[in-house]
Amino acid sequence: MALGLAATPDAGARQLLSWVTPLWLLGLAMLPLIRWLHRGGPRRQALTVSRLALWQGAERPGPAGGERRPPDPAWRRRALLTALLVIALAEPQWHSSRARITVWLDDSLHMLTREDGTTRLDAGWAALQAQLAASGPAEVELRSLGDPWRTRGAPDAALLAAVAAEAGRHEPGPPPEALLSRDRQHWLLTDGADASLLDWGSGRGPDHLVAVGRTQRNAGLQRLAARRDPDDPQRLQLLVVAINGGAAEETREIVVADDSGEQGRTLRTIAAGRTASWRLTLPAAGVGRLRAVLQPGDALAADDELRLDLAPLRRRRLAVDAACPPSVQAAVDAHPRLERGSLDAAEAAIDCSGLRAPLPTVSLQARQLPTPLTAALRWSSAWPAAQRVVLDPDRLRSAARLEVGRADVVLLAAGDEALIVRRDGQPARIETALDFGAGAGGAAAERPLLLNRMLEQLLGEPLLDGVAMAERSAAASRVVPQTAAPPAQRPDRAVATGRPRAATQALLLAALAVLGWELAVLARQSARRRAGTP
Amino acid sequence: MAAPGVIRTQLPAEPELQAFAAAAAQLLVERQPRSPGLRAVSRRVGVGLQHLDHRDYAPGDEVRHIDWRQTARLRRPILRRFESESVSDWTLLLDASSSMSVHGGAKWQAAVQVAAALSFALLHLGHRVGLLAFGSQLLAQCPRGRGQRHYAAIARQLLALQPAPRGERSELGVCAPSLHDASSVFVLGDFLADDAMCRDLGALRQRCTALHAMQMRSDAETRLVPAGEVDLVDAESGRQARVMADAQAEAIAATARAAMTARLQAFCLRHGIAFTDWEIGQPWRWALLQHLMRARANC
Repeated sequence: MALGLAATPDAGARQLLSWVTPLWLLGLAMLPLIRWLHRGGPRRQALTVSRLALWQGAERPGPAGGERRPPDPAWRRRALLTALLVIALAEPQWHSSRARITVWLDDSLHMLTREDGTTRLDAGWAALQAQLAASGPAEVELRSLGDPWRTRGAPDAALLAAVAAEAGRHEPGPPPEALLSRDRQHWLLTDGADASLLDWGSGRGPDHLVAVGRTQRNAGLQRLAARRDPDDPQRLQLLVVAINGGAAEETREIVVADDSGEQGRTLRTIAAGRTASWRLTLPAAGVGRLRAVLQPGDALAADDELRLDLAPLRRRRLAVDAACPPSVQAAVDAHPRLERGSLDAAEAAIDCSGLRAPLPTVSLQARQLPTPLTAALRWSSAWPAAQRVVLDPDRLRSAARLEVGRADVVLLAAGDEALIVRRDGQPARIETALDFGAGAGGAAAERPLLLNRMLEQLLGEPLLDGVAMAERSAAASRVVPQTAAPPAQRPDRAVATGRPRAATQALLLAALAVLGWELAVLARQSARRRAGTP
Repeated sequence: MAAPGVIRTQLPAEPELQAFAAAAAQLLVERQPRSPGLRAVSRRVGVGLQHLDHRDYAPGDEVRHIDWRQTARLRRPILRRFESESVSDWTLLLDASSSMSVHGGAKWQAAVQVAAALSFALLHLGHRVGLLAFGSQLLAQCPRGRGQRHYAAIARQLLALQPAPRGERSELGVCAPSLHDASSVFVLGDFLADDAMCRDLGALRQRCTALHAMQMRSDAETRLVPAGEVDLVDAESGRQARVMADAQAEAIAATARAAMTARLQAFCLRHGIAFTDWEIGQPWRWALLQHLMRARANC
């Protein structure tokens, strides 16, 4: 409830001051009561004297019969304190003639849906400009829901273009509560397709909603993923997921193409709000980039295409020392992400003869006869537990004794004996004393996996199960505007006049100051009393 | 920690008492007084066996000392007086009214110190000393006695005494019935009463051979903390009056106090009472010796 006490002379309906809880103002009736309670005059200090007769000549006469004594002046301080507290409890709010508005822009991808020859973002922008102009002079700042902490400056065409270019790049969410200052109005420009953007928490919502959007139909691509076939590393397995973000069933043809041309297409019918997936395999040779497209296009063209860079799936070229045991060469040949190459063209090397190549290298040290391990294995915490290989120490042999420098990291040890060491310096180098030779016996089963883990440590990326994926959220393709009203939309009058600025804090500070004043006076009186009383 | 309103009384230390007793010895030894007219008087009224002269009977006097022959001749009761012996009786009358307790009990502490010192010095010289504390009634009594052991009794009595902070009036006259055969009486108090206790002093003067009055006076009695309008409360009567605490009021009070002192001094002079107005800010030894010297000179 708002109670207007003052009005502008021209508008009449425009209130400058309102009260959130005006019933507290009844407390102002206590002020006469406070004055009445102080009617006895100032409280005088009582001093005990040896003989009152000595002061007879200085005695002041009391008030005559019927004469009213002035009240204790302290009543003014106490009444002021009471009035300030009562007014603060009533929560007065000043309405600024110049509104302060924060416009939150929904920069979701679906805001690029074209309707009547323009995008929702453009249409909403025009509506926003018109409503800002109608609300009178205002200080406006813009923020986007995808990047709320960045102030976007004044609303102009350049800003609109920048927002459109970034649409869908960040996942939008409700504005952070810290930015929802109460001395500003918060407007939201959205198509209402994502209901979560209208609920700002704690029962709050936008003060004003600029809603756009009518289109009810859209289908888009949600995911395009690729990985090397585990059974045939020369082929790629693809997954394409399409989603129907509209309100009606849609039929689309999914087309997959690479740099050389179309690789396949399929027709899918997708129910409203549901997804459809398509799996296919392609030869991996020569494929650098993939592109999936939905045909025919619709109002939201931005979600009809997904592009995928397959660079994360390319095979890493490895130079394998000819002195390495055949088991090592076989492990490299069998690895889906590795291929052997010359030292000049390789990205990394496996060294078995002590050569120093200017490449990241895994060095298999074999300088002595393999000997069984005498202690339990200990893994370094630098090696994630999920990447550790389960090894049986009874089946492992040590073929060298590794010296560990001060800056080196021991990745695996048996007791005090270092088995795998990451050397300090560049290029990266990992040395192992484990025997990868033919005499390794029963440990042959773990050797390829252990070698893979060492190469992953060396190259800093997982080499097995690599997946390349392009994905957008399901909400990006939802275009159906929500019909429900925003949860806490304010009345238009509040929109027109701006959010009132609360004066409660200032009143409480003033009340504190008066309270301090009163305490100081009481302390001074008490000190005087102590000084005058033995 | 002392309870609020309790006055922490402290007696002079024994070396101090002994020093004072030595200094006052010559002043407290009985001397043959001179009567008016420059005639040397060889004898002095007091407690003894040798008859000295007669005087009118006053209520409270020992009936056995009435000279019936003179009474029959003069048709009014006449009392026989005896010659004082060299060692005499002293009675200290100590004002324990509420007015002695104000301003931190400074006057009371001063009075106790003087009473202790005087008792010690008198007992040291072999006199008999008694103590009466009075307010609106007789509050404490220590019968006359001799010796240092008696000083201990008096000291205990002094330490135990506490003037009531409110409501205890000053009625010196209540001591009169207890002053049998008192040769010398020493009154210690602030004499803040309606008539500055003049009437009671006159009555006491009839009952003793020598009467001393030592007025304790404090500048604090006539000072107020400047705190605007204040309610003054009489410590003894409880009456209140509204006063503007300023220099003018203090001047009025100081004038009234000075007038009261002057009246008392004039009364004492007329009635042969040794009187001293002691501002308690001055050392008690100095004030007491001054008083004794003045009393000695006036004898």
